[in-house]
Amino acid sequence: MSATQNTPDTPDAGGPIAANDPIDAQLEIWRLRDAVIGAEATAGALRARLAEAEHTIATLRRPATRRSRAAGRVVGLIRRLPVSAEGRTRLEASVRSTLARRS
Amino acid sequence: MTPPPSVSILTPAYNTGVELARRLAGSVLAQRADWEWVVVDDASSDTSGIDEVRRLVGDDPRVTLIRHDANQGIVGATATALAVASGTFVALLDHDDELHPDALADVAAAIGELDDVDVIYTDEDKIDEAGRHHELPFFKPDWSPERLRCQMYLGHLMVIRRTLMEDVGGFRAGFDGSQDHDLALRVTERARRVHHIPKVLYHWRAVPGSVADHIDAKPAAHDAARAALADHAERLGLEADVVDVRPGVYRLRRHFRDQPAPVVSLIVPTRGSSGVVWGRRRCFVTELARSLVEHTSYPSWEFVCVADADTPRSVIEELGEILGDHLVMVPFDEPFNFARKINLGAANARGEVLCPLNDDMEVITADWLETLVGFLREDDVGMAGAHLLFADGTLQHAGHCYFESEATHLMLGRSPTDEANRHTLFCDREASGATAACAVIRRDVWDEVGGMWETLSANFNDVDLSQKVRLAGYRIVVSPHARLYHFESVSRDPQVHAWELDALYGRWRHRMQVDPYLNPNWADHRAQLIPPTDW
Repeated sequence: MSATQNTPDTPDAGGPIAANDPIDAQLEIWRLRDAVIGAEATAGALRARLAEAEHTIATLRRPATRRSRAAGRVVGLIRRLPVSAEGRTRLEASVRSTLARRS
Repeated sequence: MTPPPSVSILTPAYNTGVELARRLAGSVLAQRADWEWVVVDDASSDTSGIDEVRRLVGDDPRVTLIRHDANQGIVGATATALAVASGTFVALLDHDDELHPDALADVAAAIGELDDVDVIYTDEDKIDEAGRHHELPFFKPDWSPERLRCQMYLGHLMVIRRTLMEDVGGFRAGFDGSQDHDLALRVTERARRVHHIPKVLYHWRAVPGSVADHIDAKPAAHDAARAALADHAERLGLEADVVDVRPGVYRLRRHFRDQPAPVVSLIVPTRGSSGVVWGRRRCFVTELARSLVEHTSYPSWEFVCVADADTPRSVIEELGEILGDHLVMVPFDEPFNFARKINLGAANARGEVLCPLNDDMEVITADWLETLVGFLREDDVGMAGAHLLFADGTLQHAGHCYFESEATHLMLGRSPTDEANRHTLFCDREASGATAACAVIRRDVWDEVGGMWETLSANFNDVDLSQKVRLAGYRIVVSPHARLYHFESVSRDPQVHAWELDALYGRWRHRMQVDPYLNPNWADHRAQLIPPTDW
């Protein structure tokens, strides 16, 4: 896939375009309707990104508890165990789900 | 006063085997939600199974056992159970099947989250007599009304708000074998919301002689299904015939006997290019025109040809000879922009229905336009797409789908008769989008969404159009019964630019993370056989 390029100039980015005949006028109406729906869609996408970012920061700011610190130590020990990657993943998931159930 | 339970499980039973009864009861007693269970023994001659249920449930106040003196069949037995049920919702559980331990807890969670939900269904699999899972599960789409017109895909577990079930009168007599399909059609016609839980929460027993084991086990069920679908079409005012597709798969084929077919404007962008198909060189647009004239049965269409300035004069002359009065020429003298060409063609079209159509196509099914335009006669269908095949007969397009936020084509490159996931490819179905290589769209919908986004000059303009149509509240339907060849690999450079993806995701990323019509468990092929539960 190619590197990012600038988006080509688009009619919806500028001011009104003079319409000299019915076909041009029709195309102009469609461009404007598309731009309105596109703006609504973009707003929706931005709201979703904002919610995601707020959730992330809330998670990062959650204070460490004695339980989460203990779980961290257990996970650290599990990672040193001579078990398969699959087994390690399963054990870690088990610790995390136990923690989630109790918190 | 004690509040009613969330869910009443209704089980009509007849001559249930002891072991199956033990597994059935075990699966109900393992449920972790607020439930009651109403079992109606429909005058069994062998009561050992129902006696086993009685022994297992003891004096559990949540369980009600009723016995019919005379056999009334599944319709009558379910009606008896419904009459005594007190739950806010009722769940249908056959006497030889099993619930997953999470079934009712997940259903109760959905009920708690969705105030307006009236019908809930889950994924399912099939088990043998010992409870072994012997077939990949059925990974269903989210609510897909068109697919329900093709097959009883809601299946099990189906949970219905009790008042709605009572309003429609429960199962109807005379629909034995397809009484559940008939019920699903009637309740979903009235439901405010139909919700899908994409988890395998029901195990359907396939024993020799059962429908689960072989769809043709009860031939009368097909007659009942056809009657249920015909009734459904009549209730909704759909002018359609019920047609058999495969055992257990049907089709509501819309017809135009009672009202004239609207004019369709086929909008064909071209520069008159040629390529080799099946060993022979062809000019794509003239061969398309010939194929339309010779093989399209639809009575009223025009061919709006948006031709680049460098289109050979001989090609335009030949189009005139082939198409006669069908042809409308629209010259295009700008740098390549597919979306702009389609918009320009649409602005010059007179049809009530618009059909963007690539020039590198060839008709396979003569009634492809009747099939597609027929869907648009329902007000909430905005767009309909065909199944397109590569020259080698494999699938190029059977609807867009979004997988890990990327837009792709469902079952790309597979056989068009692949039976995967309970005959998905044989069913008319809702999809997240349809390719603009061949799609019909009502002119009023096109006007409402502003046609195609011209910024996306080459790629993804159809993904954007589909999203706009769905954001405006319309369904998009794709049909295997409208089929054309699309010689895409021969005629198109598939290069995708990063700015095109940026533009698409800038608008739609949040709506492409999950595809309602692509079950996540099917899409990523994590499907695994599940070990039997030891109740």
